[in-house]
Amino acid sequence: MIPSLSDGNIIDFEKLTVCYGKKTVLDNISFQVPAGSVYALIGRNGVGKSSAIRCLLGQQKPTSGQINLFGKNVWKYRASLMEKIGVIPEEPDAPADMTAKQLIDFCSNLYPTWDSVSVNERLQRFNVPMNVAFGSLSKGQKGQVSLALALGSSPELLVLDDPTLGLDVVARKNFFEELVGELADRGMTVIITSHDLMGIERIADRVGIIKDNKLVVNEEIETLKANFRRIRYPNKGVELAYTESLSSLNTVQVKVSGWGVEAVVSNYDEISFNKFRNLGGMMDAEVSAMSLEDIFTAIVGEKGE
Amino acid sequence: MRNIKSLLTVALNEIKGRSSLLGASLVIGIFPLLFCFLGKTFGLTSNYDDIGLVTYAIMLCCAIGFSLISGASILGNDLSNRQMSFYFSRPLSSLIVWGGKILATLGVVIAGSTITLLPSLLLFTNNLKQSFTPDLVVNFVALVLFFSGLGLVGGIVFRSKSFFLGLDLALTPIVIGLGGLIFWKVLIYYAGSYYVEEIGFSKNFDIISLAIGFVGLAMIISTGVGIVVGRTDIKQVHRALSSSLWSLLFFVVLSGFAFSQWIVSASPKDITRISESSILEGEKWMIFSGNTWGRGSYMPTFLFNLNTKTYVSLPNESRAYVSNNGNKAIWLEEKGISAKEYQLVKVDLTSNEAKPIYTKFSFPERGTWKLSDDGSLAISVRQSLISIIDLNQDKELATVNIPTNNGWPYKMLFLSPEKIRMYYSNVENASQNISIFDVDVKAQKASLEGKLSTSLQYMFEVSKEGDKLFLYRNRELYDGKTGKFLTNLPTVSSDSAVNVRFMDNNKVAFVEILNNEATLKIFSLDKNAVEQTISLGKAQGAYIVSKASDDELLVNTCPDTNAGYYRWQAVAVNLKNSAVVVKGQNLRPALNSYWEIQVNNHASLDKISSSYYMKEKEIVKLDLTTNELKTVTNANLYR
Repeated sequence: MIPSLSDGNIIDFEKLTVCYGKKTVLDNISFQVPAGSVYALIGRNGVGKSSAIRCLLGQQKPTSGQINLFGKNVWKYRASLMEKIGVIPEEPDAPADMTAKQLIDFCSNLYPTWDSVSVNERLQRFNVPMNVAFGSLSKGQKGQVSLALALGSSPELLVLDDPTLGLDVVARKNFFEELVGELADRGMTVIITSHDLMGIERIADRVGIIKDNKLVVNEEIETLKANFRRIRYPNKGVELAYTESLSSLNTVQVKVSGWGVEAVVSNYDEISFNKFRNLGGMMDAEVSAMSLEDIFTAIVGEKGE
Repeated sequence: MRNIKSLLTVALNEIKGRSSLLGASLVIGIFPLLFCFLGKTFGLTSNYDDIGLVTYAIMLCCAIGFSLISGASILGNDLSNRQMSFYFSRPLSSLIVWGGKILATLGVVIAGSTITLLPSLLLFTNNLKQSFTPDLVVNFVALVLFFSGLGLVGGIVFRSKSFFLGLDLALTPIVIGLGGLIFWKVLIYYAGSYYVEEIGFSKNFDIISLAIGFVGLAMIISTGVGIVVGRTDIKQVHRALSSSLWSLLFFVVLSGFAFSQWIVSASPKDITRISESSILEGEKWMIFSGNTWGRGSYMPTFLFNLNTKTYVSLPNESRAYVSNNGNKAIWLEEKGISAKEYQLVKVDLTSNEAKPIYTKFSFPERGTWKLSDDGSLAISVRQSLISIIDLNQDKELATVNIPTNNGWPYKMLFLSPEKIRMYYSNVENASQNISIFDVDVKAQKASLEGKLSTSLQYMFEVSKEGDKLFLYRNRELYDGKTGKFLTNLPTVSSDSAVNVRFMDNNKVAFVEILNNEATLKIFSLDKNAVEQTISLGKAQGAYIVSKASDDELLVNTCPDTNAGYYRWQAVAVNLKNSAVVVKGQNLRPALNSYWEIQVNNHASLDKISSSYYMKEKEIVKLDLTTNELKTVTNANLYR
């Protein structure tokens, strides 16, 4: 029996550190995911997202720290916790020689709350053949089978490890639409890692960004987007002094080019910005909102993928 | 219940994926029929008697193949293809994932083997029932476990690309070498099936199968540890697997080593049943051997000091040779593994604290040995080569080649410190020849003194002085030096059992059993006639033990049996008045030829004042004057 959660957090990363030999992949990461929220864990390739997911699923023992799911240590209580969790792996991991029908039969024996009808309906809706070996399906079909299997047990938590990796634009769109629909219907808690930041922006309400093995951002997306702004102003030869005057907005990135200066700030507020505009004729300065992808690019310091 | 359902779900899913193997089994199952049919057609076999063996062989090959194929793929494939996470994302414990897959592996192997068996079983039920003995079934299970384990481990370690593979490959020959050496000693040499029966198994099966099965089980279990600890990461699985496997195998090897040391460390207090026992001249030492608990067929031998209760332990299978005066004992100890050598060990029994002394003499084979009466000289005989060793000075006095081609040394006697008589026996043209050689130690020469040819029955006795030789089969007496025929021993019937001992005054005493009646007869060579005939009564067996006095012989007779065992009794026969007196029941002389103890044990009769007997587990001393039986050793003596 899973204990009730006093703090309302489904996921609790407590000082998670993962090392491979002498190499530290995740360094002392802590964050919580409240019930009903959709949490996006993003970062560049190789920053340890998949290690974090493996630890989250109790498939890998962290070097130090722990992860609690529903208030229980996932390494110790993985098997019982998995009854409440649906998983879509980065690479489809179902045995290649099993058909969708066999996979459904297999899973139906393992979950007390298995809903075969909805699983079959979902696969029929996407024209996934039931008697073709999983290994012979297209990537998109494999993704739909994985999603159907993940949702078949009506999980309370959905773990998506870069589920759209390798899918074309249409398949990605279909996948996220299907997911949005499910989330609206069920109110599940979701943790997702993905490089498809536009897709994530549609569904996630919180985001964690990993940089240099550390969790550098852990915010609600709306707050994050409200705090981040791109400010452009003409180049008048004294741009450095102006840039310094932006420091109260917490400048995270400054680019100087022929026509002017482009700065990204992470602590934007209108009063400070207006003060800046009134400095020495900066009335031409413009401010614009940023997408999650822009913010991610600005934070990780280099152009995103 | 839910766990069992999950376990079966995983197992059945894996079996379904390997259904092609089961189909192949059905095809393979026709092979034994085909094999025997073709054999009969082409005249190689006359009937289907061999079908049981052929079916077993094919089924075994099939089982080994399936074990390797299923074992190698069932865990290794999923781990290397990153598909193990499929199972670990479900509400399945690590043990259920692993257990389900192991169950599937064994299920495929057993189902496949059974299918292979079916065609032959249906057509030749009786042949197969006779052929499939419990031993074969145990061997089959052991091999299935071993090869399944091998497949499972190999499937992981060769796919993981981990540096642990190097460690595994380095440790494998070391563990196999150590394990093989220790298990060879423990399982083949010291123990054997007896141990298995002793610890409670009713069936007498091959203990090597147990060892193979256990190693297989260790490999299977180590994959379980690997999966429980490493879960979906093949490198971590490999790491945990290797750690547990090598720990387990090293533990087994160390345990085996400890067990083998425990076996050879048996002391007199561990003896549960004495099989052989003798009191040496002087009544200071006794020599005995027997079974000990848990040591299987290992039968330690001890030289035991009756006064101090200290003892000298002799290695298994080492025959001790003790001098007539009871002062000296020698034996050989095995050295080396492949190129064996046997080192001569001597012990001086005049001291209470007798300590074995390892001499400088080593021999390529055990050979046959004989000690002089005082124990100062020893003869080693290796086919036609004999060495005479001075044990007091640790010096080889002579090495002599006996001029005989294909004979084996049957008897040898010290006629004097410088003269040895050898009796070689060899078979030639359906007859047996006994060649008599005298060896001059000083001159280091052997000369053929006599020869006699007999029918194919080599048992013969020679008198202590070497002057007379009795051939059992022919009931003939010969000159012990020249081989010249002297006379026939006048026995009632050639079918009667005879036991002969040489007496003084050119006389021969013998007991004869005919129609369950024993008779003691004294034959005079001078008169060439039986001088005296004394009935010993009803007996299924009888033999002369020793001479109690000039006029009294000690004889052992067996009037009846008890639960299939001979019930011996000690009988004194007075030659003056032909009186036969039973001295005690359930007694058998505490002397035998196993240790080559010459005291009271050669074909000539020596006068003794007391005699030692084994009475169940005790050794008792019979005082011939008072007829009293006094316990010398009992169950508490060694403790």
